[in-house]
Amino acid sequence: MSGVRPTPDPNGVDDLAKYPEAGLHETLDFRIVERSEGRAVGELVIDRRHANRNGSLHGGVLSAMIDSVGSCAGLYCPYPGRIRRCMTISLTVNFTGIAREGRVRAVGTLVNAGRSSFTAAVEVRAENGALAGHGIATYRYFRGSEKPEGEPIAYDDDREA
Amino acid sequence: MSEQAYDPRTAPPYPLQKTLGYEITRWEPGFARVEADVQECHQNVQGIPHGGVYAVLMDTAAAFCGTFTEPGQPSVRVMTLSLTLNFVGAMQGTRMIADARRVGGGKSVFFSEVTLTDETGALIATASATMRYRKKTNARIAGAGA
Repeated sequence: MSGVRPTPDPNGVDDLAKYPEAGLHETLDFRIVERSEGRAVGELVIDRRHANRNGSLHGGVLSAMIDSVGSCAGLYCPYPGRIRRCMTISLTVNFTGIAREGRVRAVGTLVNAGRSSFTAAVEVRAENGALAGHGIATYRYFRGSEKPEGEPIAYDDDREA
Repeated sequence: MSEQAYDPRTAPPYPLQKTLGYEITRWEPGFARVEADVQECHQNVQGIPHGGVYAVLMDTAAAFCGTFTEPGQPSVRVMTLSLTLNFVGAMQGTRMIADARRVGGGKSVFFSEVTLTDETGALIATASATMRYRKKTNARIAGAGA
C-alpha cells in the first residue's frame, strides 16, 4: 500500500455539502436531501418553471429527478473531500399520476452494484403520497469511482461552458 | 370544448420550455424535431448536459410527433405513459437535436421512436416512448402514420 489511505467519516456520513447543486439542479431548484448507503432522496417544490402545456409537472422534469436520485443511490461516499461519479447508460420511466403542486419527493434505492456499473430504482411521490412516476436506471462508474473511497474532489472551475 | 389552433413552432413557449430554452422546430404528421443549444443551466456537476435535459427534449419530441393537426383544427394533447432512454454516446457539438417518429398506435395510445444527435451528426441517445392522447382530443389525429 502506498500513499495516504483515505479515512471514512466515523459515523458513515456522506456530507451533502460536498455536492454543489449546480447547473440543471439549480435551474429546476431540485435538491438532494439525503445520501446514505444504497439510498438517496431528492425533493422539488413544483412551480411554474416546471409546468408543461397542461400546467402540471413535465414528464421530462420527473425523468431528470429519477436520473439524478438513482445515480446518487449508487454513489455513497462517506469519505470527506472525496466523491464518486458515474454516467447514465439507460433510464426507463413510467408515469403513473399527474403532479400539479406541492413538494414531490424522489426516493432512490440501489438494486445492484457490480464492478463497473450499478442499477437503481426510484419512486417519485406527490405530497399526498400518490405515486407520480417510477423508474429504473443503469449507470457506469467513472474510473476511480467504483469503490466507496471514490476520488478526490476536483471541481473544475476551468470547465468549459 | 374546442381549443384554438396551436402550432408548437410558433406558439409562445410554455413554462418549462422557457426554463430550459428549447424550440420545436419541425412539426409534421408523424414527425417532430426539438432543438436546444447547450447552456450552463443544463449542466451536471461534470459540466456536460444532464441526462434529464436529454430526457426533456426527447419526451417533448415524442409527444409532438403524434399531435400534428392542420391549421384551424382544434389542438390535440397527449401525456407520456412510459419513456425508455439509452445514452449511447457523448456530445461532440453544442446543439442538441431530438427527432421523433410516430411508429404506430391507435386512437388512444401511440408509440414514438426518438434519436438525439448534435449538429455534427453524433448520436447521443435513443428513446422509445408510449404516449396517450388526452380525452376529448383523441378522435382528431391527422397523419397518424403506421
